[in-house]
Amino acid sequence: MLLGAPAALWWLLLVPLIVLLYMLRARRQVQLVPSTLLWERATRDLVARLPVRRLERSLLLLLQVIAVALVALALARPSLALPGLSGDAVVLVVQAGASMQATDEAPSRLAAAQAAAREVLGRLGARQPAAVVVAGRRPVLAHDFSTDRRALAAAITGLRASDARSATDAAVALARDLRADGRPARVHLFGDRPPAAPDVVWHRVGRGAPNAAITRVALRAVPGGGRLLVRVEAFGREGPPRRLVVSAGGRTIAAREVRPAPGAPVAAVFELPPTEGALVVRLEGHDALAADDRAVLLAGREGLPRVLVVGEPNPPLDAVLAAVPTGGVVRTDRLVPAEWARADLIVLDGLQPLVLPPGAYLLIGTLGENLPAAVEGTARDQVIRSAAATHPVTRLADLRGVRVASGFILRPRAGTVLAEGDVPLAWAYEGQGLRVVALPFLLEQSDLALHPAFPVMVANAVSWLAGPSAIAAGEGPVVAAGAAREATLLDPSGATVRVAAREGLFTLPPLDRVGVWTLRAGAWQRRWVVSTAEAGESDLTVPDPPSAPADAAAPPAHVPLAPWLLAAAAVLVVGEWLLWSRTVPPPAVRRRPR
Amino acid sequence: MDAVTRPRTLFDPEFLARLEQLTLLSHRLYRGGIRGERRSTTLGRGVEFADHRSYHVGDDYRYIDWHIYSRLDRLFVKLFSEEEDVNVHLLVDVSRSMAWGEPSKLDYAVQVAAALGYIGLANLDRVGAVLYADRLLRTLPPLRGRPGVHRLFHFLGEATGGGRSDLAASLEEYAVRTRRRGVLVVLSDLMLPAGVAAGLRVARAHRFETFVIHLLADDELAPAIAGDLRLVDSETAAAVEVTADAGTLAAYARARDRYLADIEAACRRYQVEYLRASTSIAFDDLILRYLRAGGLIA
Repeated sequence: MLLGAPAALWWLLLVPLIVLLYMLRARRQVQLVPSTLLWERATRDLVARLPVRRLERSLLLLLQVIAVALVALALARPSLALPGLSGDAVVLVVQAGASMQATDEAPSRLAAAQAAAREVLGRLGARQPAAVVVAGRRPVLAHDFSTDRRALAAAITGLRASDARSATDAAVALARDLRADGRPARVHLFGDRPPAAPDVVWHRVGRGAPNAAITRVALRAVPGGGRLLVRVEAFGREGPPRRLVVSAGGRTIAAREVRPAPGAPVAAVFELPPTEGALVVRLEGHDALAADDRAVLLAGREGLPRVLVVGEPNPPLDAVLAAVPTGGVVRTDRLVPAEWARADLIVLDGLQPLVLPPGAYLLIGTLGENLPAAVEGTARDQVIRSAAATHPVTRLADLRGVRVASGFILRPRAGTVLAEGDVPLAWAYEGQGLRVVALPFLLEQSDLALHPAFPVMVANAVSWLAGPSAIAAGEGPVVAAGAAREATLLDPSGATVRVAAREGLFTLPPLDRVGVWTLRAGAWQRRWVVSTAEAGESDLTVPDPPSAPADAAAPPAHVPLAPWLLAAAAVLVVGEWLLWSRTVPPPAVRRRPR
Repeated sequence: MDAVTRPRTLFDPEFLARLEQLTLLSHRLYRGGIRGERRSTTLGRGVEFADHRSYHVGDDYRYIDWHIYSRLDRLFVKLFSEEEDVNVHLLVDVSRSMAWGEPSKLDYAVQVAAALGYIGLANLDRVGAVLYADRLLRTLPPLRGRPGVHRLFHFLGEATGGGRSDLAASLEEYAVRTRRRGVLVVLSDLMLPAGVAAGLRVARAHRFETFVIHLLADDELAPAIAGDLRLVDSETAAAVEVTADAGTLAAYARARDRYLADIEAACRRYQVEYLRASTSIAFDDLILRYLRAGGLIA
């Protein structure tokens, strides 16, 4: 509630004055009467009814006090600022990306955004519905339209900032698509990134602060160890020198001082000894955002996919798999699908078609019965004339000219044809818990193994089929569960979450913290390195709002309360007068003598 | 205390002519010593039957006409006429409270007293007048005959007063001063803290045939006041603080009714005729209707 003239509240001092006058009893008016004889007798009669009379007088006093208080309050010209007073629904979009962890607003930008959102929520009308959308890596509807202020406030309070990028535009789009009773809602955005849509009310959070961040890390194997590349950028203004430390297993293995400046990132190169496991790179010192001062990556064979080859020995294939970076290649001739979940990638070489459990497969001369593709006879003397250059499997692998003497004719109903002659000769599919690269011919039926693109294609296929071991914060990987029905997910801090398998897959929640995440199911485990890798989140500069206030499109409606207060005071005065009028003597009656 | 003043004009000739047709009634025999022109209900010397009238409390039941009672089942007393004079004593309260009302109770009382005196003088009765408050203030010796009218009117017209009212003391003093008994007419508002009984007892003890005319202003019957007030007694200057609201006025009405009931009870106890009148009653109505109905004049 706003007061246009708060000084008028001094009139409230009349209230104790009235009470004081009642207590002191205002000086009585002197009136001459012929005799007080009957008045004295009447006064004695009234003593017995004193409590009732006191009550009546107290009620009069109470009405007078309330009326004066209402008038004083009305003179202060109070008004209520009610944005969206028209009753339109409101969607509160709260950014929850990594930048919202910045501490330039105490205690954090997210806390400030939550407070602002709750304040807007508190100003809404009682019947004005509101919803809450979280702008994390993906937009999430945290609370659907409701008038339950407590539940909405709890949903806002329960938000946590992740290390991921804030998908602000997607969240705003989601909010604008929401309908309350078939009508669009007004969108309020709380965060440090302005909305692209002009009709969104932006509640700016953050004051802007300098920040230094690790924006990229890369590890390459070199003879005698590895070469670590770390890029450090500064945002806002140049800060003091920072110490860049590389550690493995809690032990510092390399360090150097860096001093990045805005627009002049520093690339630090470390020559590392052979190392296995997680490498942690961090910037020592303090700035407004700690989430981007740390990066993690896996060194050595840690994090590389483990490959299981099922079939007869195949020297060309074995040679290529041995050359490709993997976590190990195991060959078996046992067709036991329950054991396949121990590997990240299964290569089925020349087997009869069978039903594939969820997982990643490189199919050579075979096909799964549960794949959306059919086999229609045999193709002979085929030559690959075109290949999909943009697909991850065929990227930099020019398969054109590969000859296939004999193979089956593949008729896919989904997926991507990677290479083809007269018929599809390489096919990729992802869906139903399966990720598959299929070659409809045996290697010995073609000259593919002799082609230079073969090892490149196999390396690409292993990488694509196994999936990345390094992902951006906020991603939620989906992995094959095999025979396991339940697994444990460990976050970088060691906290665990139980994950149940559904239809042979573990669908993981968003991995929203930087560090190494581990999924364990018995002896099997899979690790991911999660990084921010979003320079935009490290730039803590907050754009100025548009020249016109962001919420000028819908200025809060100031509802004056003075008329209502004065009306209430008038009603009270009339009521007090009616009550008092009971004390007015009746008109004199002309009495007749006996 | 300020003196009470009042208008001097009393009656017009037309009204006086109507008064001459009336007679003061007395239920008892008083030895006036001089034969007059009025009729009375005396049995001693008066033997000429004149009229009947309704029986009133205090009437001598020996004069009840039982024949009429047997026919009508109502009590009437026989009236005998005898030409004799009767002493008429007019006591007018001129205390401070009598100045109240519109017209004032004092003006009203003076007019009533003058009218009654005129009737008496016109019928050759002896008429005396007294102005009293807490004691006798002025006394007009008994007059007889029409020539006394001017003195009576002059005496009443100059009536002033003030102070408190004490009926008992004034009557006691008057009874000592006069040996003549007769009809005693008291005109007062009877605002007597000690009550009216003491005064009536004195009148009864001195064998006056007493007739009380109780005059009240409308404001006294139903006060038109409101708010927080400090009421000051016009006679004693005593003050009472009241909040004049509906409850207080209801309490006042209850006190008023009890007080009037007490007065009526005292009058019945001492066989005193009582008539209460508001000053808003038209004066000629009071004389020509109510006093006749009350049995004071005929």
